[in-house]
Amino acid sequence: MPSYHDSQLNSQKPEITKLLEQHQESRRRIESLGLVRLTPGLKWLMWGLRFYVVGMVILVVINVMATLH
Amino acid sequence: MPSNRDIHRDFKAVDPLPLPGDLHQRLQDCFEVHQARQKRRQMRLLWLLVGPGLLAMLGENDAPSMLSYAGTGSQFGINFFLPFILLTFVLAVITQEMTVRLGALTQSGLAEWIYRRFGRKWGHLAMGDLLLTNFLTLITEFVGIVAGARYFHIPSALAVGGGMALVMAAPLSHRYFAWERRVLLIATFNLVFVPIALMSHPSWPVLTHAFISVSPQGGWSKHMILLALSDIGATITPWMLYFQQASIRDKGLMEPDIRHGRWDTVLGAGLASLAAVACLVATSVLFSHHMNTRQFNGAQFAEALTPYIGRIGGSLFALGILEAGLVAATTISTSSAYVWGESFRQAASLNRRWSEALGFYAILAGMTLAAGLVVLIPGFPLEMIVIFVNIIAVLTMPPIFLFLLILVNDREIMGSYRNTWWLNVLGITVGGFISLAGVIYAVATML
Repeated sequence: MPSYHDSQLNSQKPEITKLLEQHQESRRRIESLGLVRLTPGLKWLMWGLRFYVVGMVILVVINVMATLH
Repeated sequence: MPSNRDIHRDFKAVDPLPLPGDLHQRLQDCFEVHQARQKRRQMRLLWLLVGPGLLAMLGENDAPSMLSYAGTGSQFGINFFLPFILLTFVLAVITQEMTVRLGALTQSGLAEWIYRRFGRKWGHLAMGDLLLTNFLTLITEFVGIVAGARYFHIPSALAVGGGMALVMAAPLSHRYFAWERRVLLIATFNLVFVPIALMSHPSWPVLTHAFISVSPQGGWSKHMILLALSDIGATITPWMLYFQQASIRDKGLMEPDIRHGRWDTVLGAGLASLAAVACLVATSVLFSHHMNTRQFNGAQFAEALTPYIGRIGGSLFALGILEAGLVAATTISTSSAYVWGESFRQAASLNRRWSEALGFYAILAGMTLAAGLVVLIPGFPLEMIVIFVNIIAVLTMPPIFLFLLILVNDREIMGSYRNTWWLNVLGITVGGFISLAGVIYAVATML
């Protein structure tokens, strides 16, 4: 005869299975997504910010060299 | 009331499937959260769910950040900078909250999303930015550890070796939750700056006046702008975005946990801003005594403060810098390992054993080792790196922030949790503020 503890555990089993299913469902949803469609404006902004980073890093390096000398 | 051990035993007894190590541990944590929620044990729920936000915020109060606040307080006082630093933490909450929603809804890290939605080219660029800034920042953490240890006459090699050992030993339990609690325990020591500030006997009317001041004492200068930019970099950095979202994934937070994730972020920002402001207030005593602190490191700040806050206060200050370096070295090396794993679709979890996630642990240990060894190279320009690392962090932030903004507006990913118009206004304001800070830096440099 199952003990009280066992029956409690059995009642929790669906909850754990549900948690696992939520994880797996979330994973399936992510895997189904591909590249996002970007508008030309967003593409320009992304490239603009990329050049901004490169320019700024060059500026920092120049600044470091100047400070060192 | 069941103990943790009971809950673990219960979980094992009903564990439905043999699962990979990290998912098994994560589900176990989710089960504990689920039980606490069902039994309406609010304090237990909060205890279980806080962590990623606290660690991201307190981790960002790292050695260069605390030295930046110390430099600011000692060179420019507290006027303007006190409200300015608090503002930077508000901006940090706005940015980090987005990672909470994205992470909890999808149980995926930011690096994975950048690769998935923007492609490999943008993914590689973002990863390159992060690994470079993380490596430079890690070097500065060891600089902080050495500087703090120097106050206690601990040799550099011993301080670096001890720091490296602690960072590498932290994940030995192969359990995210245990790692998180261990690092949090050390991170709470960041609040040591609060008693240090009280020891400096600040004038409360002056503090109150500083809250409403809009210009710094002594006016604006190029050096002041650099320090202000460094203070922004002390609060908002790319690694925090990657780290908090990856930690949320590793911890197993899910959609119902978003509210607690937000509280975790706010709580972290509150505690971190308290420590930051306390450091500023404590070191402003040097400004009042017209001390030139431009070339100071952690130990020199502690020594300079000793006549005003006593030997115990000086020791606490040095310990605070040492702790800041240790915690950040742990979180930053972990964030690098997370990003590497997510980018290359490799196991990236502190819930995995060494044998199951060799690359993940190799990146974590390798970056720590390399950064520690760089600090020991004689004549290496460490002070330069400390000054510029926060600035580089601010300058590399805009593209990553744009990716995050696009992702949290993506209906396919976020559903009803996507950004509202006012969250977008706040987000764009933060992005604009960070980009503008970079432009001001460029103009100030060229003058």
